[in-house]
Amino acid sequence: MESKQTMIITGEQIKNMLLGAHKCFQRDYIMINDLNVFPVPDGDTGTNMLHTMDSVAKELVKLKNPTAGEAGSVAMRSAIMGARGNSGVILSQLLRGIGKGLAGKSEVTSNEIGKAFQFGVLYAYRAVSKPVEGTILTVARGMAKGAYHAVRKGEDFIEILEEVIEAGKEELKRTPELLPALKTAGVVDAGGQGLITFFEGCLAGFRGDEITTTDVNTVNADGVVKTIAANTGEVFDLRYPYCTEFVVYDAKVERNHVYECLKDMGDSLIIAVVDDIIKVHIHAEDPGAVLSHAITWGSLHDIKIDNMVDQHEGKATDRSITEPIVKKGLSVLSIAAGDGIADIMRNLGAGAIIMGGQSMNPSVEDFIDAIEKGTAEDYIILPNNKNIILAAEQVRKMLGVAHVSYVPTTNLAQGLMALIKFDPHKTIEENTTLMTAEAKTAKCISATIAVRDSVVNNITIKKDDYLGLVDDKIVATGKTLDAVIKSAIETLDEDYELASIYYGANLSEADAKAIAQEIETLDKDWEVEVFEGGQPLYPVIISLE
Amino acid sequence: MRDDVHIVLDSIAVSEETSLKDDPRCHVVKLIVGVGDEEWIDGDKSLKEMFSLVEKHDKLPKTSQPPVGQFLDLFTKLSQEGKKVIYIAVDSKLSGTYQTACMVAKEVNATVPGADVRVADGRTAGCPLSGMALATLAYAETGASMDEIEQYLFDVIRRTETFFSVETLDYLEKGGRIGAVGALVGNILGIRPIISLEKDGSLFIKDKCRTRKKILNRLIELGAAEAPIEAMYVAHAEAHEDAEYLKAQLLELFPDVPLILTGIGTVLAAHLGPGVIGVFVRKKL
Repeated sequence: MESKQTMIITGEQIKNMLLGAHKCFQRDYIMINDLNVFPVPDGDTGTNMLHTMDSVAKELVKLKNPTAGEAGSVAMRSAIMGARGNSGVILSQLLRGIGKGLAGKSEVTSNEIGKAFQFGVLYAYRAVSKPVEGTILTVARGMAKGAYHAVRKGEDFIEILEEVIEAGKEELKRTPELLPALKTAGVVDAGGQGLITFFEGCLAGFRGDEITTTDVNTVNADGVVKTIAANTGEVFDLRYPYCTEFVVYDAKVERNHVYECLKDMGDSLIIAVVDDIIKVHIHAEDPGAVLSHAITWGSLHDIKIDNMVDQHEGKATDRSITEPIVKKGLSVLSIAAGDGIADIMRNLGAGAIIMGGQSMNPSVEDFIDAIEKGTAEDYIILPNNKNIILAAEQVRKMLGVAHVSYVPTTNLAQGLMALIKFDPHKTIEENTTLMTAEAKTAKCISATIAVRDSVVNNITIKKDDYLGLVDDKIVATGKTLDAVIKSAIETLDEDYELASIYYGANLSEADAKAIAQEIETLDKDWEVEVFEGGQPLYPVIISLE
Repeated sequence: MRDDVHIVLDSIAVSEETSLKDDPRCHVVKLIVGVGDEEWIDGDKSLKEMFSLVEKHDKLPKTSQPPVGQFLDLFTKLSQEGKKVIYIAVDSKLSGTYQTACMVAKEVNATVPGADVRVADGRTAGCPLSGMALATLAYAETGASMDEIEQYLFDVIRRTETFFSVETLDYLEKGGRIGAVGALVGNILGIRPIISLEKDGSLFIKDKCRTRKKILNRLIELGAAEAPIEAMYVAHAEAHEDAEYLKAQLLELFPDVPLILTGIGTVLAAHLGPGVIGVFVRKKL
């Protein structure tokens, strides 16, 4: 005990210690960056800490046989000058505490340097003005406790550092329990890991251990290569690339059964059960196998499979969030006449879609079914066809005006305009009023093929001719698609900025783009955009605004 | 001219595009921006250069606060010269700069005899921060005490409203700043959100529009709804034509209210993306 207490540490050793910490950050900074829950553009934790230590190392190497006090004060000053980002600032405060503890001393005992490190942790702790548990703060406090006990036991400096690191690691493991964001992302706190890297580096530098910086650590504590999916903040394991989600209705099995079946088929398994509805989220190796199991439990809905490697590379645009099904809030139920249109409506925030439209009008029962199975409590219906408005009115009467309303949209353009203005933070009445007003500003041009000879609005129509419509009125007829569209456009008397073309299932993208080009040459000064609508019967629907 | 009260701004305030440029009482600390391996001090590269780097590296920019030492040196030097200092920081939710400056101010106030360094969270970004500085310096001319000046500034901050529109939500999303609300905007059909910066620092989607004219008119509407107002600001990232339109319309509505129009720096653009345009108004007392 006595000999341990009198172990003497020189300024040169302190310098080597801090240079060791610098090297450890060179090794670990990518790993620390990867622990960020969000890929935040305000700098990365690991990079910031490394930059801060770069500045310290640059000044320290200039010192020849410094006193302990000199090494500490150079480290303190250079860290403060070089600190980057919040994590760098906290690290600089750690060094500031150490520097203060060493001030004026030429050499120090184990006990004295142990206290200096305790100071450092204390300063780091105080740098965080709004304490949140589960962060670097929790780790720092655990380390301070570890240091306190080790110093009191009179251990030598190496043992003190080992205890500090051990205590820090214990606390780091706890951070996901304290901070849900970490748990969701499947990571530990990045700043806390940075603190451990710092002390590990100090220990290695003090002992003179070799620190290889050629191998940059990108491996987490489990020894599994982990990558952060850029647009979700989710961590995924490359062995299980398929993010698979689905809902089982009328489920005949218990949660436990689902868990037992799926637990070995992937990771990030989430099972949410409400009555006889089960929502499953899993990162699977083979999504087909997962679904084969699931089909035996009940009927499957909202099946979604994403390759997370694509997401990671920014290819996928899906923003769905995994949440258990609890009927909550206000949403939109929209009628879509094609797959492309349905996708666009979902993307714009429609919580439920019924496929239907011209010649396939959904029934009142279809509406009620969709609303019962939906995740929202209340719905605003967008019929998007004049033949569906009455059904919507009926649904409103049956389910009550407090829970269901509708905007009397008669075409796609009106539906989309209304949907864009939907704001779930507003009430059902406010939304209905705003959306109805907005829908009225929409102008819709569409083209279809006549099914029989007739005369409408003084226009003689022959079977199989193209018809051009403005809103719901036939205004033109002709032998070619672009001719009727042009004629329809000529009947407009208002000015517009933007024309969006939604092309139908029977029109190619190339043909749609050719029509877009024709419209651009009309000298209207419109911006023209083309989207895949996938609707039947109408090769082209154009919304103008 | 009263010379004992000095203002510190960060580079996000683009004070060089205002009359503060030649005011010896105004000092600027600069943030740092990087794309990929390239890094520069805010102001050293143009927005065009930054966004072409973003394209080249296929990476979004990252920003860092000014080094702590910059604050320490500046606050210490001004205090030693006997100046009282007020730093008007960019919104504290956007950058940790405010918090760092608070820490440094505490230290300087404790160590430099006679030092009086105060830090205010500007709760917005861009040229209105310079507007706050101008208002504060003008108020100081009345002979007010530091406490009175600080209170006045807090009040100016409270009365300043921020509305802006971004071309893409990608930048705000990658920063984790728009969250679930952003998902409701949709990322197709070229929809642009109109966003307000709320007093708690959160972003609120006020409206969604698809065409340029609607966006600009909505920004004007939102600004005008705050009347009576005493100051107006327009800030833009390389959207000169839109900015001039906003200026002309606002001045037509409020011919007697001063208006400042500036660009934004690379740090702010790094958070918001290209084509950002904003309208800011300061309500009357």
